[in-house]
Amino acid sequence: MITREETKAIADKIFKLSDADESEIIFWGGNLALTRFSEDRIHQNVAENNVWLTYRAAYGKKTAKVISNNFEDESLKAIVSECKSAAKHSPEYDGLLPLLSQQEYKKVNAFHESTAEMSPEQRADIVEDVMKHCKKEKLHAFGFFSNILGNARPQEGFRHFAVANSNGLFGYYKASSAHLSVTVRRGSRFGWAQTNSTRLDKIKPEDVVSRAAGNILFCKDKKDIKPGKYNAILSSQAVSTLFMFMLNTFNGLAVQENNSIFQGKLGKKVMADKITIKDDPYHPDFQGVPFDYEGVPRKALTLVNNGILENFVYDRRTASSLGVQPTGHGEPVPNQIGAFPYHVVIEGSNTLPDELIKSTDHGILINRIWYVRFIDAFNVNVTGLTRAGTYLIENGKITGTVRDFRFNQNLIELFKNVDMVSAVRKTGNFIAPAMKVRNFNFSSYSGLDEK
Amino acid sequence: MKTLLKFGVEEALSHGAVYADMRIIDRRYETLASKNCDSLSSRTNFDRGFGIRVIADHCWGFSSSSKLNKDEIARIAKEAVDIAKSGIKLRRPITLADSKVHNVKWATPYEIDPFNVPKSEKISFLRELDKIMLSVPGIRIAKSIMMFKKEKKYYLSSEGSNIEQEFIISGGGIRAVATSPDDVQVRSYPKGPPGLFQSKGYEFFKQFDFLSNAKRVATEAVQLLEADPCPVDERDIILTNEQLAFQIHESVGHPAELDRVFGFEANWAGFTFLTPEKLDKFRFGSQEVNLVGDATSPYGMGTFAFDDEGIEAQNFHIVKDGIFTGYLSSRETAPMINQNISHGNARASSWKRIPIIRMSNINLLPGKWDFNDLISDTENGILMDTNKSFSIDHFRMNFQFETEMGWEIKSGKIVRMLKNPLYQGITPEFWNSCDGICSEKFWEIGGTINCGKGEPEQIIEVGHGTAPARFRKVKVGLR
Repeated sequence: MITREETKAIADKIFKLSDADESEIIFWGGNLALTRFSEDRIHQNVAENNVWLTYRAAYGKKTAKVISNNFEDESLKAIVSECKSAAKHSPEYDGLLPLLSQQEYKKVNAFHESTAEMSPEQRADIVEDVMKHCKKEKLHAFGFFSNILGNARPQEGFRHFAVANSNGLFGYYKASSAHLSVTVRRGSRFGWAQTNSTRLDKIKPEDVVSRAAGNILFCKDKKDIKPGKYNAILSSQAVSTLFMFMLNTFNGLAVQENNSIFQGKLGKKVMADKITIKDDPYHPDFQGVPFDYEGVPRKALTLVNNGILENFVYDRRTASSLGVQPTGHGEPVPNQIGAFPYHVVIEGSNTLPDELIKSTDHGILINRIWYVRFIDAFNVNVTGLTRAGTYLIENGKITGTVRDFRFNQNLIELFKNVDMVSAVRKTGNFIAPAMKVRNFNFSSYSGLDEK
Repeated sequence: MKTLLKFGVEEALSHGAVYADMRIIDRRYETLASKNCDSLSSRTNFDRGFGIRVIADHCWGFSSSSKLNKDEIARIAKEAVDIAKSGIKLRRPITLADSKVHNVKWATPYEIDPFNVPKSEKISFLRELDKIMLSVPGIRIAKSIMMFKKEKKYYLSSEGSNIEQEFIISGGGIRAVATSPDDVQVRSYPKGPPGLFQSKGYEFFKQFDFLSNAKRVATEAVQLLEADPCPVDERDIILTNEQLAFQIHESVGHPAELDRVFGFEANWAGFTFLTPEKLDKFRFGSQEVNLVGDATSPYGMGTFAFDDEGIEAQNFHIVKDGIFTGYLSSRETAPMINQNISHGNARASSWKRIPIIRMSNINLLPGKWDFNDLISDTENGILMDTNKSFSIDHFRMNFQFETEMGWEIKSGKIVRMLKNPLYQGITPEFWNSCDGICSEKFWEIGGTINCGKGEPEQIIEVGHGTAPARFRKVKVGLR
C-alpha cells in the first residue's frame, strides 16, 4: 500500500500530464500475506505487494479508463496517452456527469499497525495455536490465516482506498485486516467457522476452533430425513451468504430498469416484522471506506425497517435521472451495474443462538452454505448446498447429524418466514443474526453416500 | 528479463532456499462493453509484476511485487525465503516429481492482433449488435462485450529451465434481456456472460455470425416470457456444447484435481469423491465417455507449452472408456500417489499468485452421432442450451444446472419452447447415463475465463472441448 502523500503525488503527476477536460483516479490494492494449512500442516505460505490505479479521462462527453500497477514516469505517460486515444474513439455518453469537487468525509478508525505489519512467524504462531486447540479435541484442521494492509473483503480481493479528481477532490483511507478461517474434521464429520477484523487482537483462535467444532464434539448419531420443507435455523454466516443475493433488489438502477422485484414497493411490507436492515459503513465492526468510487460520501441508511422497505441505493447517474440524492454506493464510472449496499447490518436481538434451537420442535440447523447461485435473479430464487455442520433438532435439542443437502429457496419468502433472530455476529461479508425460518426447501441429498 | 530472473533466483538461493523459481508476467487487457447503445465502457489494463517461489527448510514460501527492479527483487526473494522458514514447526515433507530442463520460447498462433484493430471498428460493431437487439419489441436491455488479453510470461528455475511464453485470448458475446411485470428472461450468444473465449486473435469475431444471432437471441428472449415452464419430471436431455462445457468443468475437471484429495482445498473449494483407490478401477461414466486433460488443444484457453513449474504440456485420459484413469497433478502432488511425473497442471492466475492445480483443457472426446439424428432418436426429452445457473457440492457429486433455453422433444421432434429449464443429478450416475455423443463435426472448444479456486482466490481461464451429448432419465424442473 502507498501512503496518502505518495497517492496524492501520483495523482497530481497524472493530472499534470493530462489534457482531458476532466480526470479521475481510483487507487486500490495493498499488501496481503496468507498462510494456508491442511491436515495440521502449512502447505501454502504467500505474500503479495501490489497497488492499482484506474485513470479515467473525459473529453467532452467521451470517456475511457486505463488501469495499471506501474507508476514509473514513463508508464504514467503511457497511461495518459492510451486513455486519451481510447476516449477519443468512444461514443458520446449522455450519462456522464461533471466531477464532484472536494467533499467532507467522516473519520474512521480502520488501521492498526500491529495487524498490518505482522511477521511470517507471527502468522505461523496463530496457525500453530489453531492446531493446538484442534489437537486437544482430536480434530484435524484446514484453513488459512491472512493479514492485509489495504481495503479488502474476504474472498473478494481488494477494493478502493483512494479517489482523486481534477476538480480538487481527494479521499484516502487506510485499513488493516486479519482473517482466520478454519474447517475441522473428526472422522467423516466436519465443522467450520471464521472471524475477521481490522484488529488482530480480536482474532481468537480458540474461539474459532470452538465454534467450528461446535456440535460435532458431542453429536455422534446420524439421522435420516427426507427432502421437503423444514423449519431451519440458519447461522449468521448462512444468512449473510444468502443476503448477498438480495443486494440487487436494493439497486436503484435495477429498479429503474424493471429488474428489481422491489420496484414499486417503497413503504410497503416486504419482509417479516422482525427484520430491520441497515447499510452502515461506520459500524464499529466495519469502519469501511467513507466514500464511494465517485467520491460521494457514504451514508448510513436504513433499507428495511421492521419489514417495511425504506430505501434504495443510488449512484450519481441514476439518482440524477430519478431526481433523488446519491447515497454513496456508486461503482466506477461508467458502469452498467448500478449501486449496491456492501456494509449490511441485519439487526438481531438479545437472544442467544441456542435459544433458537430450544424453541424448535423439529427442524434443521445449518452452519455453512456453499455454491449459492441464482436460479431466477428477478424473483430471487437461489440454489445452494449445506456443508460443515448440518444437524437435526428434535424437541429443542440437537439429536444427530443429517446428510448435507441441496436447497432451492425463494429469498423473498425466506425473509417473510423469519420467526426468530438471535444476537448478531460479524461474518465474512456482513453483520447478521442467526435466523429461525419456516418452510426452508430441502430439495435433495448432496455430498457422499448418495443412495 | 533473463538477467532479472537469474538475479531473483540467485538471491533466493543465497538466503538459504534449496529450490527457487521466478516468473515475470506482463499483461495487457482490453475490454469494451456496450449497453443499450447509450453507454460504453472502454477499459485498458496494464498488469506487470513478478513472483518468487522457494523451498527452504522443507517448506514452501512465495512472495510477489508489481515493482520490477533489482532492489525490490532482492527484497522479495528474501521475503519468500523468510516466509518459507516461518513454517518450519508445521512443515510437511515436500518431494517434487522429476522435471526436465527446458530452454524454450513459445507463442499462441494467431492471425490478427486484436490490439492492432482500431477501437472505433470494435465499438461500431458492438453498438450495431445492441441496435439489432433493441429493434426487437420487448427487449429492455441489450449488452455486447469484447475482451482481449495478451500475456508474456518469463520463467526461470534453479534447476536450469528458462521458458518464455506468449498468450493471446480473444472473445466476447451478446445478451438480450426481456422483461415483463413479473418475469425477466435472457438469451445470450455464443455463450452466457461474459461470452465465449478462445486462444485466438481478432479473427475470433470473424468466425461467428453475431449479426444474425443478435436478432435471434432478442426474439427468443421475448418469446421466453410467454413460454411454458420446464416440467418437473424425469426426461432424457440433450446438452449443447456450451452447457456441456459447464457440466464437464464442474463434475469432471474439479473432482479430478489431485490437491483436493489431500485437503489443500478443504476449507474453500472442497474435496473430491475421486479418491486414489478409485484410480484405474472406478466406472465414472458409460463406455461412450472419454475425457482428456489436453493442454495442447488448438484454440483452447487452457493451452500452453509449459505449466508454471516448467512441465511440458500433456494430453492424457482422465476417463477412458468410462473408467477413471488420471488426475490433474503438479510436481508436489504426483509423488503423493506414488507417481513421479506431474501431468503439468500447476498454474497461477497471476504473477502475484503461487501455482496450484488447475484445469488445462478438459475435453469430452467426440462420439459418432449426427446432431439431428440424436434429436430424432429421442422419444421424450429436452434440448438445453446456454448456461444460466450452476451449483455443485463440495465433493462434486450433487449438481444442479439451469439453462437459458429449452426445447421439448416428443417422438424425435422439437415441439415447444420451455423457460427456466433446469436439471439435477449425481455425477457418476449422470455420466453413466450418457448414451450418445455427437461426432467431430459438432465438436468445438470453449470454456470459461473465470474459474475460481484457492485462498487467496485465483481466477483463471480454462478450456473445454465438447460435442452435444444425450443423457437418459435425468431429473428436470425445479423441486
